[in-house]
Amino acid sequence: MEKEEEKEMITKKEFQELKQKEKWLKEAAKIVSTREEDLLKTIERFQKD
Amino acid sequence: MINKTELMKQLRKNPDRYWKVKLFEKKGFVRKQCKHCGKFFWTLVENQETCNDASCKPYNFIGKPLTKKKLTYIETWETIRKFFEKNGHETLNRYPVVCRWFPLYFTIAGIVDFYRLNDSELSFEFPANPSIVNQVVLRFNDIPNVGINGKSYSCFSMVNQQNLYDGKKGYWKDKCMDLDFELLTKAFGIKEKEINFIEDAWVGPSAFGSSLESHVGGIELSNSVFTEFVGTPDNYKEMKEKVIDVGIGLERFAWITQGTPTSYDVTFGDVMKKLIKESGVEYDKKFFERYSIFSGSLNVDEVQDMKLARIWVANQLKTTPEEIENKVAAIEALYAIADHTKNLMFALADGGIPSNTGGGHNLRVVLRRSLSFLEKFNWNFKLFDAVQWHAEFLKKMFPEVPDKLKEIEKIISIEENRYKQSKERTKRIVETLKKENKTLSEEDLVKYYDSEGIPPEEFVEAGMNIEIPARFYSQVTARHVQGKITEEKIQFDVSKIADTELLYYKNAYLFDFKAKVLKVFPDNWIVLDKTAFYPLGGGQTFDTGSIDGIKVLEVIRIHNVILHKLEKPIKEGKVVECKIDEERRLRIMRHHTATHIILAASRKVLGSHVWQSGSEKTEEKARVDIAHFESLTEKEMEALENEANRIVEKDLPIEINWLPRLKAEQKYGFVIYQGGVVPQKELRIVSIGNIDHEADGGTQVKSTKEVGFIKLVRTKRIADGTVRLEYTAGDVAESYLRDRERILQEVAQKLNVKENEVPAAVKKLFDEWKKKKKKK
Repeated sequence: MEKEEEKEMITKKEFQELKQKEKWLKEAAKIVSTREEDLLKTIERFQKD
Repeated sequence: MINKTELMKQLRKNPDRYWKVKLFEKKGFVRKQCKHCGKFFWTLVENQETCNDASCKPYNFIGKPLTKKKLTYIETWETIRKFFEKNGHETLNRYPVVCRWFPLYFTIAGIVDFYRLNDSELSFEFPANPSIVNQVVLRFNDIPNVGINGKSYSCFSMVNQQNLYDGKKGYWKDKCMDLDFELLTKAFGIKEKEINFIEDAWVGPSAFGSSLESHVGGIELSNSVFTEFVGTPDNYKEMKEKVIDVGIGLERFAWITQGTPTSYDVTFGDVMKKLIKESGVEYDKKFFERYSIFSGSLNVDEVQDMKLARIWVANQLKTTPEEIENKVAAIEALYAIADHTKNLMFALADGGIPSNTGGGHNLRVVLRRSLSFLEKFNWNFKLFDAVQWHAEFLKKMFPEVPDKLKEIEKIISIEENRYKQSKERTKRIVETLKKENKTLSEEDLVKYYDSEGIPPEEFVEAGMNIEIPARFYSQVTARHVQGKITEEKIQFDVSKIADTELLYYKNAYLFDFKAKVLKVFPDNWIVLDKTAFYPLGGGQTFDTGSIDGIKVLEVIRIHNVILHKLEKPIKEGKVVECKIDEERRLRIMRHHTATHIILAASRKVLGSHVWQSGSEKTEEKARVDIAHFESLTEKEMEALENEANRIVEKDLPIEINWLPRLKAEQKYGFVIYQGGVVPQKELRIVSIGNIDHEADGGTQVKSTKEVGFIKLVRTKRIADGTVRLEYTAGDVAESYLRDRERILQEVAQKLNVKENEVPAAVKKLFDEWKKKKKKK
């Protein structure tokens, strides 16, 4: 039995938009020298302090 | 490894069988034993007592060429080429000096071009028969002698004459020696009585045979090897197709036609003239003519103490060792620089990268040795200047090299900076050692060289009172000469089991199938008669799924048999329903094809030196380690990702073809060996349009568009000369970006700003936080 799944790809425009968002996130994380995943926690700590 | 001494003992029991050729009878050569070294040789001079090797007889051609016509380095090659073409040989283009087709880091002999492995057995594959090739070879085991004895090189041209003989086609010893004698006497005009043939043997990886070295005027010009046995002298068989392999020293042939003080003077030609001019070194040609007659015996392999050897030469010349040192040290350094820069030019042009491991380590040795000479003598020219001079001088012979100069300049410049940094580090180490009143042993020197890349000369310069062992560089480079063949660990005896039918090669989209259990091993390992489960291999992870509803935990391949590890036992002989985790396999396939795309994009963006040194393709992500000389900049990452996605959007077809190895190499080049040496006669070539062709055993999607967009997640310089690229593709890439989007949205919400304002808002918050901290 053979199967082939046609995945719906995101459009190039969507991909570029997502990449732009990733850039903003990276830039922000770099400013405070943290991992992107930890940015929210770091911001919360700054706001708390 | 076969012991050469033992082999010679056996062959000498029957010299007529192994060395006597018709030429010797026809011309009246007699067999004699050298009174100096004990070797047997064949000569036309009845009363000759020595074999004519450099260690038994001083050169007799310095200032007195042995040929009527003086030939330049390039004219010498042309003479050899025309002679062999006239005699029915095809001339092949040189192979890369970085060896991709056999487990060696570099092409160390002309015949290596044709070495191939079938499993672990050596085979020879010739694109034409008979043929010759002007092969540039790199050897790093003789570095201490380079520049000193007038004939040693780390980079030289071995013109190889090769021929396969099966009893009908091709030719064997008699014709070979007729040709080689004619080359010497007719093409070059050397007198017959000047020629001696010394008996020797050649021992290669699992093959061997007798050989005859041609010696003229105190120097070996060529070695005619007759490879006729595979195995060891205790356990061997005669080859069906015997191999003629003649290594002709281009540098030496050119040298004897000119009679210059050293072979370097003719080999490096204009490059040497420019080096002398730029350095301002005075070259006393008359002194060198006298000196070089004896310098041929200055072989660091045999002469343990170079100081004593210099004293011996001084006595021969009725001068002092100091005068010799004053007159020759700077010139010897220039000769070494000429050799080393030529070595680097070819190695870097062919994709080599200096580093602190493997073959790259040897490139760094010659590079840093050259830089240390520049410093020692306070010369102002750059190593790249010499590279350019070589490219210009050799462009008639090797027109492909000048195209690579830009890349070579960049790599050398980066290495020069690293060298400066390493010198600073050395200063600090020496200061510490002095404070602690410690010195350095030979072992310490090797350790510092290997781990920190510090040449011993730097310790001397930095004020350490140490003696550098003469064979230091041979020792450190010897550790990095040969590549490794990974030995497969065999856990199960599959010798009596039929090869598994590999359904994943017939259809990579087959996820459900029926098969019969052929064999059950302990711990629930089973073998099916056929399978679509891909086993771990080639960097691609194994498939999971179920067999008769039982979870498949692992899949491996041993020889041509696939083994599946199940969660629970199953009965032998049963016909079973097999189901592969389809979503997972599709993601792995997309990541596999994405790896080929990333490699093609890297070559375009970063340069043709990029080569895969390892890879991993899983469901979650993929990575490839590439040979590259520095970390990637953000701009390069962006360009690489854009290029990869351009390839995706082109929707190029992925084609798979099985081709004979030689045909695949001729059609696509050695770039097919990205995943390393493939020890089999037929190769499975995966092609992405016209942009990438690789020998590959994995499962692939049908077109680049099916991969989906590729997201380069991170890059990292994981080792000297190696950069790791991590990426995701298709729905995994989208999930990754959606996840980033989510974090950005949360941060934006928290800061009460728009998404595009997040970086500025974070900076503002961070600055305020720092101010507050200061006040506290």
